[in-house]
Amino acid sequence: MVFSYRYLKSYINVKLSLPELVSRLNVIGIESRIVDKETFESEVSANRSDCLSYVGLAREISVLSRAKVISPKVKFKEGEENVKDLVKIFIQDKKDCSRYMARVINNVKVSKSPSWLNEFLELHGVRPVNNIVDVTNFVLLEYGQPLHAFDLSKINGRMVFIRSAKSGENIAAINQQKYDLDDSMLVIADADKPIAIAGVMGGLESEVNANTSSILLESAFFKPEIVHRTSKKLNLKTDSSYRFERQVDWDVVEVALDRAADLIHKLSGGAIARGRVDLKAVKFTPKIVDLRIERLNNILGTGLKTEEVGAILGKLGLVSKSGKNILRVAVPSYRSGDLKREIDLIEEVGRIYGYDEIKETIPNRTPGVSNDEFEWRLERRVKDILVARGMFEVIPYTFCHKDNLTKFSFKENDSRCKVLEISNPISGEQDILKSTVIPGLLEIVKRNSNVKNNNLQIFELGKIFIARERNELPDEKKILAGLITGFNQEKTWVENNRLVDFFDLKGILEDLFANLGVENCEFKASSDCLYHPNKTARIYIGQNEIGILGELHPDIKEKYEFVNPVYLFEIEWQKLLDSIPNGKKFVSLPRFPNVVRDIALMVSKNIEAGKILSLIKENGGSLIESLNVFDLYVGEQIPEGLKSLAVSISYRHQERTLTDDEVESIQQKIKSALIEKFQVKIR
Amino acid sequence: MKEKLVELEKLILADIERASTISELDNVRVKYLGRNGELTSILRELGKLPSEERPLIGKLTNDLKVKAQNAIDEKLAVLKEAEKRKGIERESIDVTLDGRRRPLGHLHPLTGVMCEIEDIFLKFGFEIVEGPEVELDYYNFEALNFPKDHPARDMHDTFYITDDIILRTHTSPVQIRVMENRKPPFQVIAPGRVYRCDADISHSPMFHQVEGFMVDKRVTFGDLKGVLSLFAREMFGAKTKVRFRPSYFPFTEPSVEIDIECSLCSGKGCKICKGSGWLEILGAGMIDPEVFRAVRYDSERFSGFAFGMGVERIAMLKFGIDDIRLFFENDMSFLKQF
Repeated sequence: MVFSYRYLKSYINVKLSLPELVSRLNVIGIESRIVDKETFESEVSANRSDCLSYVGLAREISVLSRAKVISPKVKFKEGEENVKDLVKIFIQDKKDCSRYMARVINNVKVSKSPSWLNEFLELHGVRPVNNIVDVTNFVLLEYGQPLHAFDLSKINGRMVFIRSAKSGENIAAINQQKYDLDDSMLVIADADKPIAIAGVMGGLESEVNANTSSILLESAFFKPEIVHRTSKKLNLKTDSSYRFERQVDWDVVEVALDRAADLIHKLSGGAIARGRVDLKAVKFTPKIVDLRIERLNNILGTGLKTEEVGAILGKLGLVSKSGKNILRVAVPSYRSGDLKREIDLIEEVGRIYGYDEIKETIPNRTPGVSNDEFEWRLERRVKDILVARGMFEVIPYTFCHKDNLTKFSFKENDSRCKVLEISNPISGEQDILKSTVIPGLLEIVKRNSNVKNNNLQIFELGKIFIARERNELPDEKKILAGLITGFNQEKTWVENNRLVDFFDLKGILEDLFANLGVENCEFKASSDCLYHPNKTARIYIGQNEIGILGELHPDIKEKYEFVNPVYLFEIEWQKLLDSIPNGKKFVSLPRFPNVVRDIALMVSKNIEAGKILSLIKENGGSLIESLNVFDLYVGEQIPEGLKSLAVSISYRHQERTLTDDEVESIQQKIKSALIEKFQVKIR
Repeated sequence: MKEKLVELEKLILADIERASTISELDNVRVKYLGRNGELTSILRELGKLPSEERPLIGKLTNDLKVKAQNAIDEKLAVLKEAEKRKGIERESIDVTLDGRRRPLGHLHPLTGVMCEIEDIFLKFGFEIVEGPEVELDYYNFEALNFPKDHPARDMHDTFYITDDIILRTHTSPVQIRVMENRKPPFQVIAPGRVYRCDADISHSPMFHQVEGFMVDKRVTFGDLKGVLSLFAREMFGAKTKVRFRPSYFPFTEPSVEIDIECSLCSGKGCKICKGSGWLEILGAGMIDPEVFRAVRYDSERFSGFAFGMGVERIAMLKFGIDDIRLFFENDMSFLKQF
């Protein structure tokens, strides 16, 4: 709420300059900032509705400045007619309206407000209307109590009911809009129909205009929850609803009514009818809260004595009766929304005593073994390894566009179709939570290519969300994903560059797995609708499928208009974690030399190298220490449909030196097996 | 003949001396000592000489042969050394040219800042726990003392999946999840992604927070101040001035907001701190007894404090980034800077 420093001074004679005042308000917890030389704005938190007015803020300021609050003076004479004869009011919904007060003012002259009032309202962003409505808005800002003025002649039957709306009812409000009402909403109604949405906005038909001569002035206490709910449902937020939903001050309901009646009388003449309507659904008594001094000191970490605490509470206007190390505190109506429990009082003492006064201490910890660090340490390690391999970490949005589902042609039972839709997305293109990391990564490629960054090597450790049943939380899975595209590096004077390919990405993964100690990983040719049918592998650790690696499907590449092929991998993080062995075990160093032999062969193009290596391993048994494909050639000197492959085999026996004959015979065995199974031609 | 040998010796030594390359030297060797070399021929035709001359001439010729070979060897060594030197001289490189670069990649700046925050609390003995990003209203609001139909909920612009399933608006739900499954004492931080329906230059619909909480038998507000001041000084510098300002959160009581003095203007007021001289970095407070009630802790026996901070905000202050959207555009030129 915006406050004028000049106007504030008519409610409290504060000697502080504006910057000093703002600074002190911040120190006691009313977050404020200077707007200009004359004004400041206070962001009053939801629990301090008592500060949403000049009188309220003045009261808070009196706590920190010893100046006294100056309450507006109200003095008027009531007329002859009795309010009871002019209108009949009934609270029918007692749980939603605890107090309803009203006065009637007859023979008013509705006109423009005086300039001081117009200026004041404009300063607070309120549009001046006429000298009746403007007074109600003035008192709202002055006392924090929303009021409403009805044209009494428009109230059918001169009867007012505070009740729930009936379904099917509607109302045209003073903002010229029509609202459909239901029975969850509280309305002010006359004998026929609703005339106001209680606590939110008045009706158009009974609004005070130039022809009005009698007014019904309402001041009430509506239950915060119902005003909040109604305001939200109708999407209608007003200065009134704002204050009701944060709870108004029971006592001020009465004070504000008389203040407004007085002002209306002064500005527009007329006669204030005798008496007030004052319907109470409950009896309000100030709450008594016990405050244990020991508990206060335990929570705050202070050593305050009972008298000191009592003095601080006294500053706040909280009267307390002192017992043995305990205070019985009476909470006045203006703090009844916020100070309900002992802990609330402890906070008040703390903030007025001054958080700065409380000594910093380091807690005495009870030592214990903390939980598993394995996962987050591994996260850091994996990220560091990928960074060491030249990859950039990216953090794309979790949101994604539902249209991607069709763009990617997922089959109906693909789990990636089970997406969670956001009912109030920030934009049309961010209407679901991503069920696959791919669109987020492709978006990054597109964005970067728009600024001519076509060479990318990126990775992400993010989450995907697969919807379960409607009222269940989704499956949240962490996915480690990577993408490379474009040239591997800049062309330099000493090295040429080349486009990256599948094997660059595979190499990074193989190196990653090796570093983590993951063994028996296999890449098996596979397919997926997002990937190229012949350039894709599913990644297995032992029998467990943990992920996929491949070239982006050319159709998708085309849709995105990418220049170069794109290569991706997706790995289920938890599955990767589960396959990392705990700890390393030393293996004794080899004592006997190895023998290295090559086998060069020609074989059909579509026999995978993996199969050839498997067969060699099978036939060589434990004597084979390692294998390496060191040459692969398809081309001019090789007949159609064949490829030339050269494998280097390292043989080693753990207990003795191998003889040439032994090695030769194993080589022969291997060669025969290859010829038999794959019809290779040994070169 | 004897005189011929003396002359020959002079010639040989002169030729050897004159040879300036290894191949020239080799030619000299061939000329005199080769198969058809002069000295070799003389020795071969010793028979043509009178018999009394043969022994002497033979000896002299052999002596000369040895002398010549030695001279050649010496010269060869010198030439080889010279060539080696020349070779080394000739072998120069332009050291100003770039090396074979294998540029390393980069962690996302938010990851860097999160790790920095995590490391400080790990040093204090905190554990790291994570929680789900899609949450039940109960964990995100109700159990944290945000009653239904209360304006406190309006402080967060929530993304809804259904009425009860939302995207978490803060990392505080992890407090409830941890406390439901454990008894004190413990001290935990919970970093992670959170979501609010708000987007402009300083607000993003998705951002990151680090939550922290400590519960034990006698945790006080003084402890909260101590731990968080220590954090601020570890994070922003040992001389950092810290300020504790009363505030309001439904799940803490007393609640506090923690500011550090604006480093750019040393507290005098500038654009970054909006003239106040202070930058807000943390929200915190003593855990509200209502929260303890929701997780069935006896608030008479246990007390604790909780805190939360926005990672993007801290990163923007630390690096001087003025637009939060840059973090999620993932432009390589941006990521390269960190």
